[in-house]
Amino acid sequence: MPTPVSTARQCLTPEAAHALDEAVRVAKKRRHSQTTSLHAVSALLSHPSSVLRDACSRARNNAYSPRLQFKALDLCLGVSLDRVPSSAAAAAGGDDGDEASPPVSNSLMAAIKRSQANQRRQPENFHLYHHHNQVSSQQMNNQSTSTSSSISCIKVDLRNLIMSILDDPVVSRVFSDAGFRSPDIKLAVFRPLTVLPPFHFRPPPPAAAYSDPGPGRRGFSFPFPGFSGFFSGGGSENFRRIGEVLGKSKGRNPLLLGVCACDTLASFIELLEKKIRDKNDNSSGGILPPELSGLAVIRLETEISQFLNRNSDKEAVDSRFEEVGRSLDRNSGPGLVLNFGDLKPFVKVDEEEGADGRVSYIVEKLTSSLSRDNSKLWLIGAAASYETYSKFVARFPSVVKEWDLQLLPITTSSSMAAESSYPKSSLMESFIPFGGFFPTPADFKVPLGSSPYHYMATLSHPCDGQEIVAVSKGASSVPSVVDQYQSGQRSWLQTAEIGTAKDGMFMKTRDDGEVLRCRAVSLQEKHDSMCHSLHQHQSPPGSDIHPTRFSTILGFQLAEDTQREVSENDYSCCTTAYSRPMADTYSKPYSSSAAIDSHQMVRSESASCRIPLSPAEASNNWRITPKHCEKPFNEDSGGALRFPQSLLSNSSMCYGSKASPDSLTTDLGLHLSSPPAATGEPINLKDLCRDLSERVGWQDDDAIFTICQTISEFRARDGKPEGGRLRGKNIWFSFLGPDWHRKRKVATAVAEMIYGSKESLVYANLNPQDGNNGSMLRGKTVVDYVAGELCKRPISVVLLENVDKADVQVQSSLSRAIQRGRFSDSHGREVPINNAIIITTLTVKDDSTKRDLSTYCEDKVLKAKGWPLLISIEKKQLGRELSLSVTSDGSSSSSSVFLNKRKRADDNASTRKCLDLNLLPDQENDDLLDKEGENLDSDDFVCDDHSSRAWLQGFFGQVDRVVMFKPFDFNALATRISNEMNKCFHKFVTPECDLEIDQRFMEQLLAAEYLSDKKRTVEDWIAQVLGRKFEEVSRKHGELGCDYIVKLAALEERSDLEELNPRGCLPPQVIIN
Amino acid sequence: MVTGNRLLEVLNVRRLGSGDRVLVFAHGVGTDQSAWQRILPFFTQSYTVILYDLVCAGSVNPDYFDFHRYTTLDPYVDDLLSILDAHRVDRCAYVGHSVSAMIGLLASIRRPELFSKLILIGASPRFLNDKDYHGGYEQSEIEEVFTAMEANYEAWVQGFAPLAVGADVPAAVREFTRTLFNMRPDITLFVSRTVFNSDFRGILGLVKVPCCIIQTSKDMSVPPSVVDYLKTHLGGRTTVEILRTEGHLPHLSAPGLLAQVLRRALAR
Repeated sequence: MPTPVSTARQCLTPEAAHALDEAVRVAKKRRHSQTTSLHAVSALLSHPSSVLRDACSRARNNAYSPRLQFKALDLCLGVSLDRVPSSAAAAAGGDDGDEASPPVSNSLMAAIKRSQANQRRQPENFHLYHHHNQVSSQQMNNQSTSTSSSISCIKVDLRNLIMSILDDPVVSRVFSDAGFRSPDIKLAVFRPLTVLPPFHFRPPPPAAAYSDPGPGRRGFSFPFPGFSGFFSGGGSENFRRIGEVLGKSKGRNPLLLGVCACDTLASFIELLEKKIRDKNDNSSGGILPPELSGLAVIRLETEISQFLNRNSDKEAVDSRFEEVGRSLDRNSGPGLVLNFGDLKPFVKVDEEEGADGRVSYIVEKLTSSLSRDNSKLWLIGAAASYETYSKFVARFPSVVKEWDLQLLPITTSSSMAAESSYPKSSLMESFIPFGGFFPTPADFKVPLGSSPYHYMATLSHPCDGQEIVAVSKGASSVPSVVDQYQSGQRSWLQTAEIGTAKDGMFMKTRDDGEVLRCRAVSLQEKHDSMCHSLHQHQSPPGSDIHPTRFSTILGFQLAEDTQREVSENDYSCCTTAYSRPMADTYSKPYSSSAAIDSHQMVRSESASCRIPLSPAEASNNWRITPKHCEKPFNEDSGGALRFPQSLLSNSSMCYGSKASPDSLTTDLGLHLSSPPAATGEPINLKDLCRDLSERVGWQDDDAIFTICQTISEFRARDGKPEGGRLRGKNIWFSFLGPDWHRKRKVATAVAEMIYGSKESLVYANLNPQDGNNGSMLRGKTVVDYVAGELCKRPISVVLLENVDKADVQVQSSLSRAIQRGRFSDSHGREVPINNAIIITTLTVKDDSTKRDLSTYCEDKVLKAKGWPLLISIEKKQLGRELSLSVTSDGSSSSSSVFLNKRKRADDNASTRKCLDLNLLPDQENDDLLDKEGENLDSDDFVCDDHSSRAWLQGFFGQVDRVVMFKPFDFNALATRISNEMNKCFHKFVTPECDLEIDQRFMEQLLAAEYLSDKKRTVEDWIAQVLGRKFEEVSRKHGELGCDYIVKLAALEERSDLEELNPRGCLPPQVIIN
Repeated sequence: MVTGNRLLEVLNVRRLGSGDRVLVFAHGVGTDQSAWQRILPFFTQSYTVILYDLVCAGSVNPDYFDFHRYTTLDPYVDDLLSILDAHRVDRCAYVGHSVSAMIGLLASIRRPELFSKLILIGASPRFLNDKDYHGGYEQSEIEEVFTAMEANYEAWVQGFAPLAVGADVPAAVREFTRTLFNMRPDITLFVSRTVFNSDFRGILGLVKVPCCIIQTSKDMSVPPSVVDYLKTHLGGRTTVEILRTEGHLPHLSAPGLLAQVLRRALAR
């Protein structure tokens, strides 16, 4: 049974009652039958300086711009108010004859009762509020001053009322929809901005040591309450600090240090003198501690510097010091400050002609006068640079102690600061704190109903002209907004227009903001309940520009915050919120012939958005209806995903948010998979093996077999969770061992075979030192990059190289991913990786090959560059050491011997066993991890190698399969190549002549062969390029006898002669020397 | 203590992570603590991280910005030390960007025992040129900037942000634009004047705490000579790290890179 308004009013303080009246007015205007908490909130918010609005502005989430959040709040509130049933009976209602006021609803009345009870329970709290209110009314002109007179009265005051209203679930939902957290707002209501005692003078107790400010000393006490502004700028702050030092008991003689120190010292002394002259001047009240007021000054700086520069003699100085003594005796005030000025003369003279006693004389004099009356005499001085000071200290080491000096860094010149840094207008401070510095009319349009200019005027009213200019400049496009009012567009289009035209920057705010904005926009659109009028406005070609521009401000990125905000009860609302912007975002920019398309799309989507979602889905998923995702996805990933449309039309795509582990959505991504391989059909193992080894170009060995076996096993298992792990059908590999290139090749091949294209390989190098990642990581962390790519291509092969170098972020993300099947980025957004194959690689360096200089190892080959190649003909010299020569009888040199047989045997053994770290680690695994450890130790980049190593161990324990790669047999390849070359050479040259191949040359060819995708690259090159050159050689030089040797070398040293061949290691030309 | 707690609240002080060692991140003018967001995950596991906003930041209620008080950098130092005291920090490593680097220097002069290491990102003791010193700006240029700022803050922000970020990273520009625009224009102007009026050259020798200067290869605000100047004049053991990226805000434009260098610098 609703309560009559008059009854409710009795329980309220006048102020709160006023708020209630406002609420009733809102309800009446909307023809609602009852006045609810929502109305109250609406009324409370409508006032620009209300307690609630102020609290909101302080409690708001800093991630969003305040303007957007308030706008969202207003819109959410509007939507909720629209849902309140209006009744015709309300017009007749009002049984108490209260001018047909809609009676107070039960929920609002309950809120009032709650706050009443609350207040009764905690009278001391109430007392506190009361006090705060008074304070804030003095300092902030806060309109919410409670005028309630006595504590015993249990009339509910406004603050308590607000607290209870915020408890109302309907209200808290509105706030959380808009991105506010009710507890935060409550806290902010409880704690008004300024809770200072009215007059809290700043000067600290003199005992407080300068070096220990202590937490209690500094609050937001405004040091100079009535400060006139004369000593504004950096000066006052510097002076205050000098004063602090003077007021201390120890280290009380300030020595100002800094470029501006001398200026500051001069102005400080001036200030003190001025204060002595006119005693009534209170302006230094905040500068000197009270007990020091009336401090007198004696300037000695000119005398001292004259004396030190030999412009005066001892007598002048002596007399001056005597004077000091006399005035010290006379002095009745707190004491004297002796200014000895700049330290520079002390040091300079010292430099010039050693110590002729003048400097030490002055220092002695000063010391003695200080010791005469320690409590009443202060020294003050300055030094422009630390160097001066340190020289001085080096000269007189005991002085710092004797003089009791306290160094005071001065970093701001007082004069400069005074002239320029004071704000032009103190009225700037009268700006409404947040709530929109640059007001946007449309923002507050719905509940406030104020016109843009009206709002602007209220803002700039208290400011001077300059600021009005500033404000209107900031809002320079307001007129254009008004123009659009007249053009009769739907209001949501206008909002978009405002966003683009004016708030260039807000539109570029971070994704969260954008999402918030889409919500806001679509909510407003919903609020107008004008779904089909939207269609009308999209069809005329002239208005095409609006949706297009609109789309630019809507990010596709999904902020999980926003998702959380979606309240469970709000299904229809949230669907519109998301799907509407989606349609616009993707239809317009991506399709050129989109007018009709998008038209239909919007239509179909608006139909589909009414599909009720189950609560779990609504809270955990972001649904994209099929039509929307086909375009963006195809466009975005450059054709990476070729989904059959038929599949898509039946499937729905969902991005998991921070879903709880029992989320229903874990497996939904699976339905997206298009190629048959991904759909869970068992793959023929043999076919797979053959295919893979063909693609990779090496004979099938154990590594390839293991990989294929694992893939087919996992595919056959059809994604059933294994061993309780909550992950989908993803497969985790670790490729260990050397042979970096083949690992990558295998990954590419797997991507091609399983997912149909090379594009479905997501590649990242986790070693930040390697430049391989190039531009793709700009401004992103590796995690974000990978997550982003996975978003675009959810089914793909992810290749993460150098997993041992992974940073903490990647480590934790990977650990989570392997356990839960979701890869999270640095914002906590998660991407399902149900159907992905994740390959991590780790290069265990093969130390044995490194030691042997004559063999070819991966490191060296990979370092090979495309130097120009050279053929030279030399006379044979006996006794020369040849790096690699091929004799004419074709017996290849013993290069195969170079291969470390033990090593190979080891590797073979371990591979055959299909290293699976899920099993008990055996000897080899230990070896392996030891090697990793060595690597990590040797690398100073990973600083906490222990934790990294532990993580790596744990990670490998969880990986589905560890595959060991053999080192690539470069020596065999080298033999093959040299044989080939030899054959080619002797086609043209007599067998007596020897061919010598420089190691660099060979490395270059090896690299070419190793890195090339085709087979026989080098053979072809030898036949075509080198063959021709050999022919040329034989033509030019005729018959080359056995005393000649033909050398093939890389021109490494002469790189300045020719550019490096950019095309790779096989140059199209070979130079003949 | 009451005021200390209020300060923590006003300046949005956050304490994250767990670890024996305390690490303080302080942002520069034009950003707020959110600028460190991408850096944090690298440190929260092994450090207790303390974050706060400078009083001039857009995320702090501008009413707390006292134009009479924050006329030099010393009150900022007071704030910092109060925060550390309130959190009962007795030793910490400090990472400061731009103006906060200077604040850190001042704080370490006052309380050397409190800081185990200062990491200065994009720091400059003096922005204006002088006889033997190249700070990068002439007084007249600065005045022009201030005039532009006063005339149309938004336009200035739009123009300044890409320059400051330097590297071609739109996300970083967006983020910096956002935080810069969040500041009230008069406060930005005031703080900028304070910063440009500051001159730390004379006092660098007083800093005895080991410092690590992190500098990008190209920074519009800090010419390379400044880094040399800092290195020669700072009183403690000083190392220099040059990041292979550009811009004044490496924590926005190259967070991964910076985090690695930070870790390395902190480990030393």
